Amino acid sequence: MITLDHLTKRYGATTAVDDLTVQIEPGRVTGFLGPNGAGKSTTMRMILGLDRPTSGTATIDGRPYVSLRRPLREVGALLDAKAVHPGRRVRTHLVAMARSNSIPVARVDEVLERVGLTGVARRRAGNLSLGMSQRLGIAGVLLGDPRVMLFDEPVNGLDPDGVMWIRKLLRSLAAEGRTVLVSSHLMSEMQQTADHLVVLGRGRLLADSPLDSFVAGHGSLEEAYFRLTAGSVEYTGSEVA
Amino acid sequence: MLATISSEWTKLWSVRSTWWCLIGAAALMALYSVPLGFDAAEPNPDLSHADQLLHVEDVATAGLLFTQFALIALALLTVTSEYASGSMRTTLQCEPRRGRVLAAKLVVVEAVALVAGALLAFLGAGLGYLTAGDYGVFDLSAVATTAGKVSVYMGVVVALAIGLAVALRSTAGALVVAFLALFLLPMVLMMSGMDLMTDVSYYLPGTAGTEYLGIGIATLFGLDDGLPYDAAGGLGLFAAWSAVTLLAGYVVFRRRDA
Repeated sequence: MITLDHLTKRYGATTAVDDLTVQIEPGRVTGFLGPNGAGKSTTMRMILGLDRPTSGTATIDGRPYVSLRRPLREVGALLDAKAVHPGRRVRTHLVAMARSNSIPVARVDEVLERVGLTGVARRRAGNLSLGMSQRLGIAGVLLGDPRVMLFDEPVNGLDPDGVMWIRKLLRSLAAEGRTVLVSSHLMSEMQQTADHLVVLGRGRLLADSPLDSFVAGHGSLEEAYFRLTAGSVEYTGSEVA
Repeated sequence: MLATISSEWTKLWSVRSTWWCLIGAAALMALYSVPLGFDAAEPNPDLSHADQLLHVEDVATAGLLFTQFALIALALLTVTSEYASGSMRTTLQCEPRRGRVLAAKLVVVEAVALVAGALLAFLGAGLGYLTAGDYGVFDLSAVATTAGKVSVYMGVVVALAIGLAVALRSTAGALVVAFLALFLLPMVLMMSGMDLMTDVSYYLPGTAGTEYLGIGIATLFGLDDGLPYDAAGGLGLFAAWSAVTLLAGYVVFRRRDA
């Protein structure tokens, strides 16, 4: 379980995350939605102790990330699939991560198999397609077999097979009782993947509800989403005639 | 802590830049030592045989003013390449206690720098001896003493580099500041001919470190008489610069968002 308690992040005059209080429960896929700049990624970075909150707290099962001793065994996160040293080989990248948390190296080969990268294990990470990079990022999430998982836009760059694969993976991880938080801009995809939604707009909590009741009364998640976030979009292009 | 060091060790040796930096350091050392040896091998009829002898421990430090930058690049890339690719966030997900991450990086880079420094000195001395013909003098204890000093020098300079790297986060930025502090600024100030500038230059890391190595920048400009410290004092001042830079880097590393 992830608990955000009055979590706030300001950069000078800009408030990226504004007094956010919400719990991400285990055993279901929680979709994390909101327009660009709504504060989703900043929130994820604060959960991981990468960014320091201006005020408030983010905890994982009651403990801040920085107090976790072998954090990869408790929390897995995919923030940016391309955030890998381009010259390092796929397998070595995971071996270095495994060593840091005393995870047996045999586990690296297991997760490579699970994400379908065994065949490119010796390739340099910079030579992977975006879809393969996403799979490498997901391998990193699975590495420590953690109870809590965060994915920031995991379907970007994936082909339809890859999108389907991620959907099944996320659903099975949640079915195993894990806490799964996934951000995405793809509404139709979220409608098929998420059980629960947390929606941000301009850093504030707009909705925290089950998918079904969120969509109820609207034709689709997309329609419900547009209705809710109508006032929160920072940048809009002119209407297409 | 051991797990984090092991992870950093794996990362260091799994990128090509580490190898290129070491090959570059060895190549630069060869570039300086081989001509010195060949030069000594040419008999000079105006000098006695004894005056023409090349004591190769002196060859081991020649060119270190430049060669050091290969190891400096190796050191700062362990930090700045992670900021450039974004993988620093992965590193901090693996070990969120930033002091430990910095310490682990320092440990692996120090291990490499201390060994590489000594090997470079032996390489330079060896190449000088092989090329100097009848005039080369290889005194093992003298060469070993110099190798020890080069090793210590490299140990101090890579700590400075890592401090700059975590403070500035950019490869180019850290490299430019290192080049200024260790090389260009002391020289420019000494060339100014003004007493105040010269006095300031004495206290810069480049002046102090090279004085310890016996290839003093101040000596190069004939200004070593005014130096307010000896070789040991130079090492002390150099190490103090390094420690302060590392501390400043640590403070930035702890406070700033990753």
